[in-house]
Amino acid sequence: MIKTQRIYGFLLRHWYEILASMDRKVDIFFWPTIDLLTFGLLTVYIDKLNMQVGVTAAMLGGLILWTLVYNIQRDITVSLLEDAWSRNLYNIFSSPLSIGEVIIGTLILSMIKVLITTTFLLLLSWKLFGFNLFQSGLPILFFVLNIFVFGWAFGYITSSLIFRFGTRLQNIAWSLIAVLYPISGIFYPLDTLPLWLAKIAGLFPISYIFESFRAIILRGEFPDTKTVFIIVILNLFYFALGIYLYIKGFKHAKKRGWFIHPS
Amino acid sequence: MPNNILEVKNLKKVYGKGKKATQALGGISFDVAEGEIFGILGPNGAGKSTTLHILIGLLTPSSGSVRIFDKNFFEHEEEIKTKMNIATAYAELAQNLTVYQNLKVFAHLYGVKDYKQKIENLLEQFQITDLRNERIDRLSAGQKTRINLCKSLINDPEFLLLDEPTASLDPAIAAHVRTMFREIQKERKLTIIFTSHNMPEVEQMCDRVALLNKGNIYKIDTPKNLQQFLEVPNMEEVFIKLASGDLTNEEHND
Repeated sequence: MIKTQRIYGFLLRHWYEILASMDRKVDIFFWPTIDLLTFGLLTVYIDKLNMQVGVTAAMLGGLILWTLVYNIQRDITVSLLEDAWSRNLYNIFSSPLSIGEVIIGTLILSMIKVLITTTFLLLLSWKLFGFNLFQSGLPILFFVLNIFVFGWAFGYITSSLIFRFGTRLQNIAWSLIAVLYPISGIFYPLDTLPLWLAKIAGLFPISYIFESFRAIILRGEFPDTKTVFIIVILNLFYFALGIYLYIKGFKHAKKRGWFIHPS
Repeated sequence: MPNNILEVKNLKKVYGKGKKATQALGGISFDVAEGEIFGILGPNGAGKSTTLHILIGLLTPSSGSVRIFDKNFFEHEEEIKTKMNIATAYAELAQNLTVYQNLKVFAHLYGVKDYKQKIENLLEQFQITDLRNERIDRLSAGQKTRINLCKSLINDPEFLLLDEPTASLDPAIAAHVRTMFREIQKERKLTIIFTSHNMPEVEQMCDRVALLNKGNIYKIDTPKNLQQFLEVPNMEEVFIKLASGDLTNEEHND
């Protein structure tokens, strides 16, 4: 049975880590700020070239949404790695904490961390570049929610690989999602890609999210029912796959004693 | 008849498959009664840690059954673990967190209600109130061991696994810890499984001892009876005989 006190304990462990660790603060504030400044200044330059109206907003919005998906998936995996590095997995998983509570805990944890980062980025982009992500209204919330779901799914898939292959694969917490970076249409339309690559991009919901987001910002066109349906179905598929692989990986880790020797 | 807290039957653990398979436990069976301190002795690789790791749910066995508090451990793991705990010399707590923060986290993970008072009492018992706000990564090995022991008592467990609990403690503190555990055990009828390489400690602490040899139990008896059985004067010699490889499991079966 799921116990809220145990989930709270899990969250507390990672909240204290954020407060104590410079690395976690850098993850939350430093890199997103650097990205925002770089792309923000680039869009100021693009503006000066008198290009199509809205290009700068589409780029900044794309960047913020990408930061969301990147941070969410990384936070899921890093919360696991943190205890592996500390050699604390032994104590954590010998406690009554269940896999269900870990899953709920990581969902909430990533939400808290990402909301801190996003609020910070939104304020910064509004103050520095006059950009408001929610200028197009509520549909943006639909994209944000779906970005969350895909980030969680990808984070669980990555964590399942850590459970299976150990910390020697830890770099995937930061790098695996990067495979989707050039093909998701974050800054440019999917028809820029070669056809075969665009077909691969079509397998991931974030491609539709970024494409639809850009259509709203540039042309004021809202996604049709079919696109909304594809985003939701693909996201549900990846989320279910992520949870399935995470639980399977957890069981595998228990079989090979990874919680005792997390290498 | 004593009330058994733990019943282990034919517990087996094999790593890998086919020709690469390595047997860590060959099908061991034993019971531990309520309020008993049960020692597990054996040389490195005998299967002591593997046994403890299965009993605390960190490792899945290949086959066999474990009943704790008269319930199937693998079906009621979370529920059973609220009444259990472990202290081991081989695990650490979160390095960036303070002693108090770590204990608070574990108090919540174990569902402890009045955790503030509990933590203060434990820090006092283990004579480490001055370390309350120190980060774990700034502590010595002996201090970390005492924090781990505090963690192991945070939920007032009824069944406790102690894996070399005094390994890095100085003799005076080790003696204090032993006395403390003996007192708690008598007060609350705490059941303990105990492993150590300190043989006088085993002799002093344990009611019965299982001698493990290459993943199998050679013999279970009181420390005194084991010495008589092997015709040696103390537990140190029992261990040396066990580690020498002279004892075969067939010998016991006779």
